[in-house]
Amino acid sequence: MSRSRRVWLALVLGAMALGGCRDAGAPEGGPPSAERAVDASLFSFLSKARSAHHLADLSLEVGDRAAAIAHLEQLSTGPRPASSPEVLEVLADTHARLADLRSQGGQFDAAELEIQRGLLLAERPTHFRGHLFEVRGLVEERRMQSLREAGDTAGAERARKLALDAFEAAIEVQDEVIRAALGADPGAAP
Amino acid sequence: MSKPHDDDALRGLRESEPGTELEPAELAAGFEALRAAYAPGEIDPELHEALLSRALGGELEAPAIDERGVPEELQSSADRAERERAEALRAALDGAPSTPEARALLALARVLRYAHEPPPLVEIHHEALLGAALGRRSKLRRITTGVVGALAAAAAAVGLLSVDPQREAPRADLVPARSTLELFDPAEPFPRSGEETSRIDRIAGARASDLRKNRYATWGVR
Repeated sequence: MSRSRRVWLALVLGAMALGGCRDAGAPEGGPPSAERAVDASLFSFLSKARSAHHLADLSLEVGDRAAAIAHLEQLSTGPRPASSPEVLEVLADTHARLADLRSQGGQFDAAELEIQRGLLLAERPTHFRGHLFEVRGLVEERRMQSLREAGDTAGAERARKLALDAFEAAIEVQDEVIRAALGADPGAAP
Repeated sequence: MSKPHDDDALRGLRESEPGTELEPAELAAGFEALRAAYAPGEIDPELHEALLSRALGGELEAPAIDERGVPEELQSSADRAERERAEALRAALDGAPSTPEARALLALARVLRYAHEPPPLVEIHHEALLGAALGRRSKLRRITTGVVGALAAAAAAVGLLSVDPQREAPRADLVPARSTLELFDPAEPFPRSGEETSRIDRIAGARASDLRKNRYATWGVR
């Protein structure tokens, strides 16, 4: 047996021992996310998010909405650390802003897609989830206006109803947040 | 140029040896030795090293010096046997070792030369030397090496995994990742549009502080 084969054999045996220890000891998947501490990877993601939003601001100052969207997409589609409440909330807020910007450019369906992505991340009743519903209402308001100007009365009415539903949902979520903060419904707090 | 007291010393030297007539050169050498003892001048550093080396029995490496600059009384005189060996070495280095002694001398000279100033090693020679050093081990030694290596790897893996990550990092002391809602007024929803940047500014700033605390906790600094 050559020297390199002996080395590989040693590594394989080590890996087998490693697998056996995992089965006997720690549970799969590591500690629950609630146990995760604030670490460098989380802060790096937040720092990246801050930069992306500031870049979007600078682009909007010169009227370049497409560039602003591109900066935010780097965040929403880029790598992210292991899920933590902060990561999910910041991403949800970013999707809400993307929806706002896309709807300003008449991209209502794309805006609705951003809302849906954000709602998947902010599942618990928080300001972030409420904000997503609020932006959905804003998007539908703009769609309604656009359809009305195009003479599509029925479409405009459908958009109006969706906007109303969205704003009502936003109010409900915000009420839950307030109740949780006041201790009336501790289970609703994130 | 001699001084008056130098002349007195010379006269005294002559008078101290009654009946003995010294040669002028001997007198000059003696006088020079006395003068050097009385008022030593600067000595050449290389000559100094050579003198030290010889005085200490060759323990110091003597620098290459011009023997012509060394006083005759300090120069070593090779005896006949040494001269014969030197001649044999010269012949051997010229490529014609004629006797077993000359061949042994040549081998010794090469070893010394390589030790002092090794030439660059040809790659293929290097490989051959490595192969000879590493490859010609006994079968028992190869088996032993393999088994010990495997056991060491397995032991390392066991040791690595037997460390409880909870014990390694006292997570109770660390600030956990959590919702950012504590940073915002629960009674005041986000504005319908805008202020996203100020929100992320606040979140990142708060977590930067948390990260600092966790690093201090990890380092044991309070």
